Amino acid sequence: MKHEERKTARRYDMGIVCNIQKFCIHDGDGIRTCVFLKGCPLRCIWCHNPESLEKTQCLSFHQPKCSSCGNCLTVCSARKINNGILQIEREKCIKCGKCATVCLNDANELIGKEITAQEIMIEVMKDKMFYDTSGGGITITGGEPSYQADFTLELLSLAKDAGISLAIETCGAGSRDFYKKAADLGTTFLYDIKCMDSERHRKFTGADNSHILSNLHYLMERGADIIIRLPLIPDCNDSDEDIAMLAAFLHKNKGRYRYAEIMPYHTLGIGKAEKIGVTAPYVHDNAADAEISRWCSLFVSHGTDVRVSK
Amino acid sequence: MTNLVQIDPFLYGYFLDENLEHGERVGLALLHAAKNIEIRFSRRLLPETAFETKYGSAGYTPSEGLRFCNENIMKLAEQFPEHKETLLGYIRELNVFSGKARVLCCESAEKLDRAGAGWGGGWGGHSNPDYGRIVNFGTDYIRTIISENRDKHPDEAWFYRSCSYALDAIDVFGERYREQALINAEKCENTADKAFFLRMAKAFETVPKKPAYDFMSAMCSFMLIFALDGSDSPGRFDQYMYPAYSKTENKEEILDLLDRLWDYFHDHRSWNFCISGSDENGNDETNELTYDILAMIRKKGYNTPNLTCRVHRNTPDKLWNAIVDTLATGTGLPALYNDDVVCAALEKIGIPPADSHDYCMNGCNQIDILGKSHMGLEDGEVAFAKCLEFALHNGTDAMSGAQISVETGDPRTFMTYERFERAFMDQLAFVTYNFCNSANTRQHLRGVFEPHPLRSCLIAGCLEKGRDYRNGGPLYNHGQILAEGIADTGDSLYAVKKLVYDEKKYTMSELLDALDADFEGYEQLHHDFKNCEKFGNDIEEVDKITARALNRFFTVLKRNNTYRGGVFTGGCSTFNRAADYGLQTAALPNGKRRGEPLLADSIAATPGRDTNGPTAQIKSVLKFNHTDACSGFVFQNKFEKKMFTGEKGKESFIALAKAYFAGGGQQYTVTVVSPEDLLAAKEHPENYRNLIVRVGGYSDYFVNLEEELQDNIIERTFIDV
Repeated sequence: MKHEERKTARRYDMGIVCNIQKFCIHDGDGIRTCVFLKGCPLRCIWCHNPESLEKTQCLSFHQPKCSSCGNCLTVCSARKINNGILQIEREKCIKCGKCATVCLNDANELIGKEITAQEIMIEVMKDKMFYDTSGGGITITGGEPSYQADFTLELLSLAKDAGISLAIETCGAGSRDFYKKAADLGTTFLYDIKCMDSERHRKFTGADNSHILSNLHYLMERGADIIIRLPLIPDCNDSDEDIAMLAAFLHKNKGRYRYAEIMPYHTLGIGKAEKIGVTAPYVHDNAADAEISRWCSLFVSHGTDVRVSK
Repeated sequence: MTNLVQIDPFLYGYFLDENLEHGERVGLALLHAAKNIEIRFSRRLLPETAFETKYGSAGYTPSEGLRFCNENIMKLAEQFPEHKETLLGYIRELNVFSGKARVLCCESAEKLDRAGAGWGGGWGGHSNPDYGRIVNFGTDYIRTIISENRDKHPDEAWFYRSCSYALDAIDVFGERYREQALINAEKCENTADKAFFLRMAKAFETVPKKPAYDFMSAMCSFMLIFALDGSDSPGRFDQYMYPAYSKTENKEEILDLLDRLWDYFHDHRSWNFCISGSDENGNDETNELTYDILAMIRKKGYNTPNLTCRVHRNTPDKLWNAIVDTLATGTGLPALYNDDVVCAALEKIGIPPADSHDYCMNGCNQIDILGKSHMGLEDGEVAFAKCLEFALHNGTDAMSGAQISVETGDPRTFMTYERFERAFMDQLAFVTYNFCNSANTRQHLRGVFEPHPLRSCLIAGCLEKGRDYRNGGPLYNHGQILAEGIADTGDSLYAVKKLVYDEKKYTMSELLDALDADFEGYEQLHHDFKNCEKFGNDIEEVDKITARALNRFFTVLKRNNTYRGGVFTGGCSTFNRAADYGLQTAALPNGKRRGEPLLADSIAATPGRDTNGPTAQIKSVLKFNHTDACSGFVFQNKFEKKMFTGEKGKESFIALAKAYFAGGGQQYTVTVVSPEDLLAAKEHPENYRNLIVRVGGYSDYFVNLEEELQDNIIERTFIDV
């Protein structure tokens, strides 16, 4: 898109962002800055970023840091101290964030910030010198970038103008139009495949996978740069049969993606869910090394090489 | 009656003729020591020098020169009453020296020193003598330099005699090692050791008088000087040893000798070993020996000596990869120095490019020109945070209440932030001036009373000028004063600007009361000041203020000359002294409490205050002008070991380092997170908010993790180690 055209098209340039993380080296080429957007259409039971699921702000409260000093009671009516322990009535919380400003222990944090694409780019471009030596750039992740499609595309085209590498990490559930436009800009796709069986995909994520796979085929067809990511979750999507199907899919499409990499389940999401006042739907220990080796050898036995993100 | 020469040959030599010039007596002392002290071999059979007799030692240290230990001399005097008078006579002389030092040193600097504002002068420091002069040319060559120059300086005849004694001492030592190696070979039952002793005896037939002819003879020559000079910094070893290296076909023997050398380093501690670099035309000087040394570091896993690798824009990828593989072992070696910046810094103070490109490191991180300089390592330190404390309290030491610095006004009366900053800058200038002054006074005393004939023979300029190494003899004679606690000061200045002057959330009175109360009863104020934007996060305004403070320091320094005939320049490396300065500093506007042993790690952020990752930290420290720092400008990042295990991690590190250096960074040290770090981070998360770890394909800040996950990672790190 030319600059002039984009100027008129810029109607959606306010986005909602969880945070911006620099020096990310495992989310695309080189040294990258990850922009975590808020909001996702899927509800994967193992989600490790539960605070990013809703497109609205949420309050994260870290109980162990709280000294029950009562400072926040002066600005919030949704709280009380019961038996010396601070309690929050979440349904009454209006997400004003005043608690975070008065908390002396940094136990309260309002997650989600409204911000323009230009503001994000100022932050992202601070690390330009590192993109230059490493071939890195911006990775938009979340949440789900396609859930704020126009904002993501706006960010991508600004980043393209700035001459840095573009990547998005996506669950594949966005509109075809979104993927088309993102691919037109020369974006690298870190594309999740969670389960080949559509019915079980729906069970784990809340949606079937036909649309996701069709978008993936579309991107493969037009020769987009794709890295396939396989979140493998013990006792969910890691049965011999699941892996056989994934391996068959990868084998069949060999050469149409750069490489595939396993993202083993980890427990980071459980604590984060607790902080925003929800219960993690799936709880398990970190995927053990033995488990990961089993997955790898299964892939190999089906004639497909995968990497493991550790 | 036991002869004094057997008890302490050094003292014997020194007292042979009390009417001689002091410096000449030191040369004679060295010669008699070389003739009589015990000689021995290290456990891996390299020449090793003890500077002891069977009765112990008076405490002469080769690198420091004339430094006797009163206590040891008293013991010897008791043991040998017949020599009591001579021995105690020595203590008298020593006291005259140190007494003079005390009288001459300015009183004001002493007070500032005691209050923890820094220090100036007082110890001899490290050096990088030109080992290559002995290894590749031999002592006979140095004698020709003496004979060419001695007649030009008839008044300094004593100096040349003293240097000649030092050269004789080296030769005598070589000859004694030759004899001893033959005796040992005779007695030796192990055939490999026997052969090694015979090879050594053969080598000492030629060296150190004549140039080395292969790596073995070069190593014998090097070891002799290295041990005699107190195992100080070997400097650019891969450069001056390369001629001998290239004459040696037996690669196995070379590796065996390096292996023995590294065990010697490990047992004795050496200081700084420098490899690679570029010449004045930017050509890379990496050679096979460079790679052999890196391989040896990986093999041995020792964390001494401190290894410096010089990099520059033409450093080959092969070397970068070897560097990262070495860093991955977790010893924190090598430290990387950027020729493009270091040489520019040295050229700024008048060192020509041909010599600036011969720099190497000395002691921990200080910059020296191999065999050509006395750069005052280190001449002193200035504690920035203490200067800020003085500015806040009108020149009073808030720890003791005593007025020990200049009055720069009561901050309550300052209408603008600029006025406040001015007060700080004036304190900084006053303290800096004091320590330059006391460094000069004390180092001058050293120059007069502690001559060093051995180093004078090995450092260019001394023999040509007829002046001692410590007294302006070398080609370059600059000085180095280090800045401490830069980030703490920048953070404090910014917090005052923002909260007192810009936002007017607090008054200066409130702040000063809170500081006096060590924040007790001022929790909200403490929280606000502590959580104010900090240096190290790529935030323009706070970075700029911090850089301004350091600039001022460099400017003030350059206005001071060293007594040796150079200028003072600055640098920054905190070692483990940051904690001590923290202990002596009162509460500060960055939220530091009174006596908290916590100050910035060299030029980096105050621990735990950088929460934006290594790239942001790098951007912040690049706001400093690194070409103003001629004394090592240390920047340290801590990474989890996992960072260096995968290809992607290694590539990313190289890209990070290259970006830092291309952006004007001078020095980069990388350490690997230890289990102890993680345990401490769990205990005191506020000091470790910058620690990134990787969990299941995902990076996060360690302190954000749930306790159970933290424990997992700690366990994993213990296993890695």
